[in-house]
Amino acid sequence: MRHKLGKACGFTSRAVVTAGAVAAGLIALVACGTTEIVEVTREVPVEVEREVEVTREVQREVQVEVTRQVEVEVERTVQVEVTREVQRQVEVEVVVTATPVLAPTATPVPAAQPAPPSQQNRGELVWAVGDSQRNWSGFNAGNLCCGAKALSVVETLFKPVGTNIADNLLADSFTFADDLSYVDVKLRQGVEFHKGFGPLRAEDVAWSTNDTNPNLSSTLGSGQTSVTDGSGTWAGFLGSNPSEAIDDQTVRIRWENFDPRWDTWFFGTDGLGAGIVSKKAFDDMGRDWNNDNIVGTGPFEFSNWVRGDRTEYTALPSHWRQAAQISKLTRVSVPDESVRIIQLQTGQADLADIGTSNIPVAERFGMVKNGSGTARMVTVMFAGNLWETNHPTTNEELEIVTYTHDLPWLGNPHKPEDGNNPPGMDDMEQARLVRTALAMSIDRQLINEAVLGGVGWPVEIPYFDINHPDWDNSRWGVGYDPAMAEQLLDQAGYARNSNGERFTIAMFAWPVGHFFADIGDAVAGFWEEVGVDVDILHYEYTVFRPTLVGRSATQAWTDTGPLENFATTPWDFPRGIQMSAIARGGKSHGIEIPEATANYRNVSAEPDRASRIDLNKGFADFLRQWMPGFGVVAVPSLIVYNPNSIGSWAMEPGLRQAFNSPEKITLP
Amino acid sequence: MTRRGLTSTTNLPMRKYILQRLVFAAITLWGVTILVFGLSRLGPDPLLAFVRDDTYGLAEHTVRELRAKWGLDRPLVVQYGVWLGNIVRGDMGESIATQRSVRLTIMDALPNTVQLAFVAWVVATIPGILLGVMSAIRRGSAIDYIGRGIALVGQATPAFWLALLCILFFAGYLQWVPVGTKAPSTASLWVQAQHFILPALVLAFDPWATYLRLTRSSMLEVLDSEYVKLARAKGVSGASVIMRHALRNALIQPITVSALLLAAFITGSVFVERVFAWPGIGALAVQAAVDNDVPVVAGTALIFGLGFVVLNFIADMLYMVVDPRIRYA
Repeated sequence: MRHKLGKACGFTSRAVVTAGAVAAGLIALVACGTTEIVEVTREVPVEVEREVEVTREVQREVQVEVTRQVEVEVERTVQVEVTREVQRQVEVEVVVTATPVLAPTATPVPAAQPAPPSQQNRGELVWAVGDSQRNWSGFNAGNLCCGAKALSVVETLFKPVGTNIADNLLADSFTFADDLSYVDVKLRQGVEFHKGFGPLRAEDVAWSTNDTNPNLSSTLGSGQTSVTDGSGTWAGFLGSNPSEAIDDQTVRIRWENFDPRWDTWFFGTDGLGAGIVSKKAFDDMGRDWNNDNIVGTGPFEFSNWVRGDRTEYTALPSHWRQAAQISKLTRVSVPDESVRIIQLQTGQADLADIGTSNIPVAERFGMVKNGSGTARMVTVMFAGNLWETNHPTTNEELEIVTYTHDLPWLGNPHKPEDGNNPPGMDDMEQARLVRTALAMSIDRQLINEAVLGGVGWPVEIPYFDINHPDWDNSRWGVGYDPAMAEQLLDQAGYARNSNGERFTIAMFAWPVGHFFADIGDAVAGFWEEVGVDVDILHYEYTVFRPTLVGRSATQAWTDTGPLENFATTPWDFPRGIQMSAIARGGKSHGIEIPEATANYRNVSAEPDRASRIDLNKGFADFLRQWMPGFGVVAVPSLIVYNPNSIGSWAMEPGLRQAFNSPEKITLP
Repeated sequence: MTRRGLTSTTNLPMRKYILQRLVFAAITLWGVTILVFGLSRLGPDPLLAFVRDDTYGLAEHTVRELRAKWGLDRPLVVQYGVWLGNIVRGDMGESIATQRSVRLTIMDALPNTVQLAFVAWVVATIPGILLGVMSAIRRGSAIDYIGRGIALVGQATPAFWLALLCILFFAGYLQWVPVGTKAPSTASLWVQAQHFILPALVLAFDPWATYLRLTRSSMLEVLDSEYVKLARAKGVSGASVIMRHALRNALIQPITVSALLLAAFITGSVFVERVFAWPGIGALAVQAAVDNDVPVVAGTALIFGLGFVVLNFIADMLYMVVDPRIRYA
């Protein structure tokens, strides 16, 4: 009763108990007849909302080209050799971070109940993950992606120190070729592989790079490709150009075309490229052994693996970079999220991957959320808009199969008049109005509140985060304007019929990470409001994917895209490959647009960062105008942990992975 | 007529029966292989079933070599022949996701499923039959109503829902048992046993009800038969009537069903394995499907098919052993 009364008055139970105790004390003092004045200090939990603008000093590396002319006299002919040296110069620059909600540090919030004690020994952490713990292998494409790098088992040549700046990790220095066709990377000395496989050498880097390239791999043979979403891009970046050891400590990495993201994205910790594994381990132990073991150089050794069940990582007692405070990390596969939550609640798990909407649930029983600062920008893409006619690389004529029926959201440049266009309006314009109307008809902030518990933030157009300092809302913002949406749909010739419906659209909202499906449902609800009937499809992505790869999908669908759609993706990174026929043969948004191809190529080839950003801004203009897809919300990538097991975890800023650097975990 | 002659004469229908079942089993298995192979080759380009993700970065020669490696450049019949030949030799190919042998991958997961299935089978069979017998003997009593109530609930409750409910209550709220997943092999026997409790109970609940209903109805039928009435009229004790005369005949159906239930446990534990994070073949199959790992999907489908065919054959044999009408038909 007392507790209820306190609640009703807006007090916490703790405050009520404290106040009661103080009152009882005062009554006792009065009753005893003393006149002593007692100073009472009490702690009252207060919730404070505040916006914090974080100003950080980062060390930024600037590439400076130094041109040196050397005159050499050879048989009365003066020959001029021009040597380009790229030197690294460190300059301190103040960068105002744009990440709006999430700093890459733990954010404690008030909990309704205290976190449970851990059931593990101190320093031994159990991490419940949704991943099956099955799909890696020690020596090739399996370590391309995420796990072994993010868990600091393998290391890369570079690591991010900001969202577009790389610092040396295994690399010590590097020099580009004159024509930028390769880079020579000198390796750091004194780095040792796990399990006694000796020092890191150039041949390890060359072998790891070649072996993860499906075009060259000896272990993949002509074999499997792409167990990650990045392998195709990795293979495309490297082409069939082998890397080689120049000497024991210098490796020459050749690529198909220079890419300004080479250090951050392709050879960085949170990018697509390979972690470096031991060639000696492969030579000595063979393929099968290496399939079940990952021999890297990171602070954690891969110590046990029960496929489909668990992986165990043991911290090295000392490491060239940083030795971990925790001694052991076990990742246990628990596919069902509600089970992972109960494991956290009972102390059986110390960390867990859980969906964004369940993070407040975990916080209520004392868990702490944390992340590397990255977020997936969920967009709705209108697959089937295949506007390109020839393949950008081969120039072969492309087979277009999505225009067998006229669909309101598909613009058909190959047949501008398809019989149902309003007077003076071609099919491209008609479909553009429809897509724009659909983009305007959704309340992004409300979706963020309802589906993500307010943890995320709105996204207006694909690929461009609204919290970036370069974002210009007056230029690219879409907003929520259902009246205008209805007007545009009327204008496009899709008036409401007697049932109040204009047309029916199919939307694929895949049930992964559970937010895509929920966001899709929310978007569908808004579309119904403006008279668009929605057939929402919730089947597995593997069912939908063949139609994407085969370029026969015509549904709208909730997508993030593997590369460009992270809020942390730097604005100078090339954008557009997922909307380009360059990606034919693989996954894309199901959209092929010549302007996207051009932007991807132009930005990739542009050496100047500011110019790359300008090009991308032009692409943002194009996306806002033609709306081949639109943004909905950004979903932060987060994990939660038990504060009784982990004191703090200061991660490196991430490009796309939710976590990294477990060696930075401190114990409470 | 010698004893030997009698035996060989009476065995003739049995042999025919066994041969017939073997032929049916072989035809079923062959059908399974065609189905599994056919499904893996559906789609506009079978290569896409073998490369899990993007091929756009690949050089043309790599794509050509990939097709050659998996024989996708050969006629479909040849592909099937080669594939079937490999399967017969125990070579199910290599997982796309892990690059390990599919056979080894399945062999890693299969024991976990078999262990769980066996425990669940025991948990379902013994109490299910006992309760069925009790329910039949005490027809119309409280035990009968409770038993029938349990059967109704058991058959109407989806396993995945029951699993979550049990986890929430027994593991989350009461904290009597661990939350899912198999204990590491280094854990003590008691800890390992604790991890079996919830998944085995959940898996056993529905079949428990099946046993109960089957045993109860066949027991009631037998108890109502003339020979049981005769035994009672002759003054045979109640316990003896039930144990020696009624139960043996009433068990024909539950016993034959039990083999099929064991098969169902092995092949049908997908939901339970998923919810309890049990690293068995059901979870493997689901994950392989999600990963688009066609060789593993095909391998697990084959194993499921094989399991069902073999256990179905055993059920047929059990039928023959316990029911003379089949033996001499």
